[in-house]
Amino acid sequence: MRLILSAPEVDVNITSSNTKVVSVAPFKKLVANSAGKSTITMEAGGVETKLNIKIVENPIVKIDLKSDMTDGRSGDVFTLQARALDKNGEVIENAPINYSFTGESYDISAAPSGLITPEGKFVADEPGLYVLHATCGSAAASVTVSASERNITRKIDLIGRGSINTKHTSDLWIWEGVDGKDYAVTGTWGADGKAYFWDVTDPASITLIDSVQVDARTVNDVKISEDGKVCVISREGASNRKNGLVIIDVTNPRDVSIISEFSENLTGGVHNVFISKNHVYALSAGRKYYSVNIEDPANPKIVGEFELDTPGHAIHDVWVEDGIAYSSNWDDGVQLVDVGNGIAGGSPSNPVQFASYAYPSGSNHAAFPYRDEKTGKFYVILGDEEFPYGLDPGGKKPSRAAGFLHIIDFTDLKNPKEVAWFQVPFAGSHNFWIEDDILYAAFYNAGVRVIDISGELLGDLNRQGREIAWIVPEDPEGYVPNAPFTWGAQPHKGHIFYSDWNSGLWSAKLRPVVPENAAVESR
Amino acid sequence: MKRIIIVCFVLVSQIAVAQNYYVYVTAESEDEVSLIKFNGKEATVEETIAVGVWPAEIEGPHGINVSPDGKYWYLSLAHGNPYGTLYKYSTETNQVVGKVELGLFPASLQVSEATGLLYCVNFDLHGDMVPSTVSVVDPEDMIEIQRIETGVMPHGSRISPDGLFHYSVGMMSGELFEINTTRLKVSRVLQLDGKKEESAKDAMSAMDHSQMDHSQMGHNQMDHSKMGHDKMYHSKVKPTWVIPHPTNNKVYVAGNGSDEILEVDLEKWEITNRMSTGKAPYNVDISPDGRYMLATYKASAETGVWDLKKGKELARVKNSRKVSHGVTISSDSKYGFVSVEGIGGEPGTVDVIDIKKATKVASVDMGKQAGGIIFWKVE
Repeated sequence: MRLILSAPEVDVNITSSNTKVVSVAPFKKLVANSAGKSTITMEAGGVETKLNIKIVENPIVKIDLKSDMTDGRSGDVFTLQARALDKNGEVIENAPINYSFTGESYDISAAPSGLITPEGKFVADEPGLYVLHATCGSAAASVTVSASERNITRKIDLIGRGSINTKHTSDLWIWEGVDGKDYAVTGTWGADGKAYFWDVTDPASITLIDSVQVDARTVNDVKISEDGKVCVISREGASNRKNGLVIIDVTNPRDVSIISEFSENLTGGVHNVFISKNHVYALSAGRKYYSVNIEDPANPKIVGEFELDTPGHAIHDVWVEDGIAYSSNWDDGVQLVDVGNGIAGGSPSNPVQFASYAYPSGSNHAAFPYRDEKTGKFYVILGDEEFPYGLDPGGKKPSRAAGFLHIIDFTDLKNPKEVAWFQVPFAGSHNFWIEDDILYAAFYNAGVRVIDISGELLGDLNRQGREIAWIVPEDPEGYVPNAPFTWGAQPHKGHIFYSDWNSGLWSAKLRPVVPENAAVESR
Repeated sequence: MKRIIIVCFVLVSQIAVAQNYYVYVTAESEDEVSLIKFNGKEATVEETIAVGVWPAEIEGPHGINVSPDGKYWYLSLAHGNPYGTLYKYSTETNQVVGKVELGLFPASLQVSEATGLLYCVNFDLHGDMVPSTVSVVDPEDMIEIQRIETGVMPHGSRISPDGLFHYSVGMMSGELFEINTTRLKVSRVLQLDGKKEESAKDAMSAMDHSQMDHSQMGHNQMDHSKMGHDKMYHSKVKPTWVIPHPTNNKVYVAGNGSDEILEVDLEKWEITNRMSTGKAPYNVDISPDGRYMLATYKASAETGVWDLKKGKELARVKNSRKVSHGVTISSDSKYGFVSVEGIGGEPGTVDVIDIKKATKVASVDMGKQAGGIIFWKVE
């Protein structure tokens, strides 16, 4: 038993009237020794209170324990089922069962490690043999499971690049144009208000084909409509302080043209945008987002808005998928808003919030939904943005970020739960993308990380060996030389495209998975 | 003897021109502050100080000022999540020695010589059209001790020479506020548009919030016809700066929207003169000897040089590039330093104006969007 005190910093003296029944253990814990009664007295600063405790005989004499599998890999979730039985073999419902594990690693240089939850789910970080225990009082049971090497790492090859080394590059978007070829748009940061358009049909030969320049210093975000005809770029640092967004015709990406500029209610700067079904979801001054109808892109029209009413609320990003807007709201975490899905009766003109999740660091910067078809789980992956190491005063040295990816299980929308995380030491997450059970995450100074997120997710994904590959864009000729600072990553037709703050646009490709039973030719 | 006198004269002249002037200038789109040195002939960037903590987010250094003893400079960073931050730096090291979070988009600021407290307006440039505040900070401990509600989008602000009164202007409500720096309360309000009955507060109260269904937060749920938008007040004067005269008991207000500078008599508490200016006057400073006034004309990229004794504009000095922003005058009343924002990828620029000659004598480029500017010292 553990006593929970509302003021843990206060020194409390705890005594038991009958230590044969209940004794006091360190850290304010009580140990039930035998059936009987005892009065627990707690005293602090001259104030005293008493608690009468009755200990009954533990009826549980046996635990029946099973695991849903005995052989798995590191990162796989073993689900335990424990039944508490009395002396007659009857099941005792709602028995308080504690789970724990011991183990030995297959690698003698590594310590066994993993995570077991109060619900009886176990995941191994290190490949090894693990004994999973279930106890209730003196009753105990164990099962032994094996977690083998996950063995999902793959080689990744740098394929091509489109260098930008005279200014910072921001976000990217890759799309198939109306002509069937593949194109990219990249923004620029703290510069001259340009956005660049690239032909990436051959990822080994990325070619700059056009650009636009608007009155801005930062084009932080770039997005393309589903039909590949309309591009929206965000503006910050306009000389007249009327920022807003710019809508561009990209039907012919080799000759893009500005259709309209729109700043109504958006003068404070648009940091991020998203296009979905003829609507642009545009952030306004880091406080809220507007839904802007662009059926007639020459005459955009605000039709709705979403803003929290919490004290000091702020917003950093919004992403829309299947009619649900996932906004990242720093301290207020992710907000799931129906903007046309129908789950909560919402629409672009009537956004309706229906779920949310916030975590203590308050660093929520980006979000991406992911439904795992095999497990039926619905996750939303939340990314931090943190810079605890500050700035290089000279501005010429590589920057270093912090923060990580939080995996939130939203299967029960009313009770979302943080179940797993992915972290790269001494680096920090930025933008990311999920396709085919693989997460492609930009980690600023740690480049692009490719992560296997198949199956149920629990615990420390990196330690479990779920990282498939990584690639870091290093460029001695970069805007800041040899200073990778990867902004975003996007898979497209078998390649990975990624933008880097100091070096521009890059492409890479994962080598195929070699089947375990592949024939190996030898002389 | 004649030769000695000539040599002495030359030496004195050389000593005079050998003086170095220092100003701090913010680069709002670069997240930098530059320390500019002007030696009487050339202006140079003496040091560039990276400010803020987020390499990949613009935090927007905006307002800047130096403590009365010259030992510290204070900087407001406009953008946060969502609140801005006031930083305190040592002038000796240009290192941060303290910080405190303030309101939305903190802007101009100054320490009162009477109270020792710092007063910083919360501009809330991109917020709703509602009254904002002036934050009062203990600059020793960097603790915000009070927020005083003023007008809509308070931007320019300066404190009277005796340190007893703080003046600020609500850009969108068109009001001049006088705060008693010891009582920490607004002591007087002057409607600069001359239409007190239509002040922003009145207009806001005319909006019937009960007609809005905030729980829905959807535009189609709101009946805008009942929300009083027609009564929403936008000042015609659009005051962006206010500066008290060192001796004549008047303050001068930049009427950014009406292309004029308003002279307000503090005794009568009324506008006593309206001086036509170039397009969109933005910031104003007055020479410590009280004779000259410099005003930046944001839209025409000029700086107006005014003789306040004559009440006459002597000249309009063309600035080096577009979007003239701030102005500060040296303690010897000789030079004006003007920050010029530029557009897009252009650098920011500081122009140095010889006030008596009413001519630009030097310029130096710095980080993008040069904005807040303050004279530090001459030596």
